[in-house]
Amino acid sequence: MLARTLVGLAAGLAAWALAALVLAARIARRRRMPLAAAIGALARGETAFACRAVLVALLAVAVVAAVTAALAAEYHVLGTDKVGQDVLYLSLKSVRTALVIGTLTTLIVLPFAVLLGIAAGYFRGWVDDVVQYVYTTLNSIPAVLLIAAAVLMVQVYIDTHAERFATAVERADLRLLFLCIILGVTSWTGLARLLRGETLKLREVDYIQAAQAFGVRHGRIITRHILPNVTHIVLISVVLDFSSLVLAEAVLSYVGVGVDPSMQSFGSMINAARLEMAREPIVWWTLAAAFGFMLVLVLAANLLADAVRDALDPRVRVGTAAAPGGAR
Amino acid sequence: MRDERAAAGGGGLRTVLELGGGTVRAVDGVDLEIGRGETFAIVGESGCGKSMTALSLARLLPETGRIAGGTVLLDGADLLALPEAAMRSVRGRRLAMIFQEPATSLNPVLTVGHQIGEVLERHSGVRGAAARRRAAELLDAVGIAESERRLDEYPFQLSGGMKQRVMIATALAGDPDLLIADEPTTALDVTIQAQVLALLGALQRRTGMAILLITHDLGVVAEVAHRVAVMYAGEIVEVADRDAFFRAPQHPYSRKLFDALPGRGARGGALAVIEGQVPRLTDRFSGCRFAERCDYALDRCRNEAPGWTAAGEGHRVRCHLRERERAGPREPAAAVAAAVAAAGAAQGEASETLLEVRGLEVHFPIRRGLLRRTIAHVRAVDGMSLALYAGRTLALVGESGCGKTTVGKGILQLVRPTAGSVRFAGEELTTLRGEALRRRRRELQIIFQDPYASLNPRMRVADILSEGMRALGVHAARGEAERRIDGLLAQVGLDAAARERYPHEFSGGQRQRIAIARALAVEPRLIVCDEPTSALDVSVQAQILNLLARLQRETGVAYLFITHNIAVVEYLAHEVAVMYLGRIVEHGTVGEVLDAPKHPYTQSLLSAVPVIGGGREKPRLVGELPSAVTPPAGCHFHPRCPRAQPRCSADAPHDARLSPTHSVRCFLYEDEEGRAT
Repeated sequence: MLARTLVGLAAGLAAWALAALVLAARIARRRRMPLAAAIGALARGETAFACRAVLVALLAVAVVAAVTAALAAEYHVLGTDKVGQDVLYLSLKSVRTALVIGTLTTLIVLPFAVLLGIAAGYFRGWVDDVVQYVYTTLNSIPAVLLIAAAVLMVQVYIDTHAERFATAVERADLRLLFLCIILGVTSWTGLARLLRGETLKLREVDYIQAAQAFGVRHGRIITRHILPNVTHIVLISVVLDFSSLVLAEAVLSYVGVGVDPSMQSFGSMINAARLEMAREPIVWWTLAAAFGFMLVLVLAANLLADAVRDALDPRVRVGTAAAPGGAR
Repeated sequence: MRDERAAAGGGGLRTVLELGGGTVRAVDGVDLEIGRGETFAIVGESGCGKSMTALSLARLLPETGRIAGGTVLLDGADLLALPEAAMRSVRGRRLAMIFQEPATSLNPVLTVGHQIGEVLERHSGVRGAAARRRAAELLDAVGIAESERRLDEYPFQLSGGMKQRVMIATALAGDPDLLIADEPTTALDVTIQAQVLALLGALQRRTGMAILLITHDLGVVAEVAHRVAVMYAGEIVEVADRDAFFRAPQHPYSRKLFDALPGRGARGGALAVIEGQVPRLTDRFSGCRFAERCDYALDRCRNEAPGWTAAGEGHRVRCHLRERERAGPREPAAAVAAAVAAAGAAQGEASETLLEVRGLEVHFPIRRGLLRRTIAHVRAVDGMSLALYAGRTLALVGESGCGKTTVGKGILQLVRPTAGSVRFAGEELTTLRGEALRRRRRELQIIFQDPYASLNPRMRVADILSEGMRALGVHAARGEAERRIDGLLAQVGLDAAARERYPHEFSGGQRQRIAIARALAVEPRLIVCDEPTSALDVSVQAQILNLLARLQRETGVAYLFITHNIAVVEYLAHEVAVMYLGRIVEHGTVGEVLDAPKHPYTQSLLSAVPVIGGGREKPRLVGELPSAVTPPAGCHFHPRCPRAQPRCSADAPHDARLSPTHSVRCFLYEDEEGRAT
């Protein structure tokens, strides 16, 4: 075991050293300095982009990944569940399911929320009335019931038309797709409401009025003036939604209306682990693995959103804070 | 020398703020002394450390700030030596503050009585019925009628002037020795400002408290201050008694502040501007801080910081120049004014009518209930008419809330009028739709008040300027648009490098220049200027006004200038329309309206403007602007009018023509019309 760990460690370090060297070489070429000097600059953190921080993070990831990979060939690194499946493998497959659900649902939510929310706030009048009516109604229906009904209907369809599906995987994928769609349809209302409010505020701002005085067309005002100024809301809310979708999937699968039971997901993992918790001695590692992987996934999504928001804001990008206005 | 009666003072006060960009020395060695019963004013541009001085005295600095040295004495006790717990009982009781924005100084979810009661309980220990009685007394003292009822109202039920009165009442609750007023009237209208200033004066005479008044408005200083200090870049550069200061300001910066003021005297000429900006307070200064912007700067000024020089009794100035070199008293503006007025009269008579507004009405529905039924209307504009000639400037003046801005937007069709007609160059705008209206848009543009809100923070300057050209198909060819942008930037006095930058990288004045360039990009014939200088400092205001005047000479553009600043009107406008609650009450040339106002409202409005060298007793306008939801019957002004007659509350008067250009909407003059015609 020690030998394998050492092999993994060496492989991880080698991969990392290679990546660091490539980076240093690029810096050296761009700045026209010797490679040694570039490595020195990198080590002292004297680069425009925070390369050193990236390398440190990369080092941690490379070592952990390589050691795990080296050990996984011989051992069950995170143990096995009650039927002897490898927990690490289950966790990795669950990450994939969570990512699919998070991304696909977000892709379904975005057009609904952005289009309807901004249209309601910008055009007001009957457009606003209709959009508000729709999302108020949708919000008043208990989402879990709606999701359960939709998923069960799909399940009934799958069961009665079994001949159309060649494999069990195809069946599970169809159920997953419908789960994403129904989750998307029920969860766009919050973001749409936020965007409507922000747009109502923005449309009275002077620069939008100035654009209207130029006769700029509505579509262009929305894309050039309103959309860029609400992106921060979209980003924050999308990431929060992404996290809550990953968690919602776990809950839905736990109660049996989530993904197909044959598909690995955090929900099914937790559901399976539930029964193990009562054993003596306690079997805790399945639950701990699901918990740890979900935490890292959601945390990473949150950090990414923060960085993206800053990157899109010209005030932060230039690095000089604007003078506080109206200090008279 | 005033030690025996000094109520408060600071010696060598230094305050620093630790910000990301370095250490900002916001207050750098300020000495001041305020006597009992004295109003001491600090004036200067924004960013000079006025407010920081005030906050330092009360030890209310923001998180990043700290007092680096000096003393603050209040009745002989050093406040800086007190622990924070003891300081809390000093604040409010012996030293109170009122701020600029009354709207945000009161807690919206607590009643007025509750908020005053809180202060009373903290500082005088009275509570219950006694506290309520005292609170009502305080409201009476600040001139709020029906004080008993007002105690149970929430801040949103009060107008801006009333909120500021409540703030003053709260400040007075502890019976303070020193009242620090940080721009107490800047957010208020001139008529309300006059009421609040008069109130402060009366309270001071009664209680003998000292007032530290912080302001950028020299008119307010002239009106109420006993002594004046001019602050520049963190230090006081001149201290004098009011009369001495206004007779002969000594520091070149003080003189510049006076010269930058718009007004009748400056009409037709360019206003003096102070080149450059207030230096960054993160820098260390080796010489005089004003040297970079000073016309008289010597070599010595750049190397040696000037000390105090006496320029008369109680008059000190921080300048190397000897008194006679700093030139004599300010030259009286009257002679210049006469010459310029003559030139102005000859400047060409009214030419082609560009814009004609008839009976314009803009009503906003108020909807309530489940079915959003309309239950009432806000009559923002209620039947107003005006005419504007090509290449001329018409100023629209009035208190805030009277509908000035809505008129501007109604003319531009940004808000669709409810009724009435807007004819531009012979074409009716209110019925235009779609493409036809878009073609007309090119000729009507607008400049807004707040340069921080009028530019999209996520667009580069070049994109901002080209937006209108692209939308309207002006200078559509690629290279041509680029050249046009460079030309526009040069025209408004900005560097061509500005085009690739974002709005937040510019100062307020520069942003306003960008906004002007944006409007000019499509070569309009009329620009609606909605208070374009009221958010700017005096020296920057002078630059913008100069720019607007020059552009009018060069391009022949007409301005509809919406403002409440009478001095700006005197400087820039050819004609004036005075607006009251959605209607024009008086309309005429600048000379006719400002020199011989006829309507009682115009008279009160003009008398409320603080004047340098004034001091005469004036008729004050009582009360506040009524609600536009339920305007008074008959003449809208009759409840506040000192000359109201019984018929004023029954019928609305019609326009009475006093001369071909001068008309008044008042019954007092309807008879005169017959004689005139």
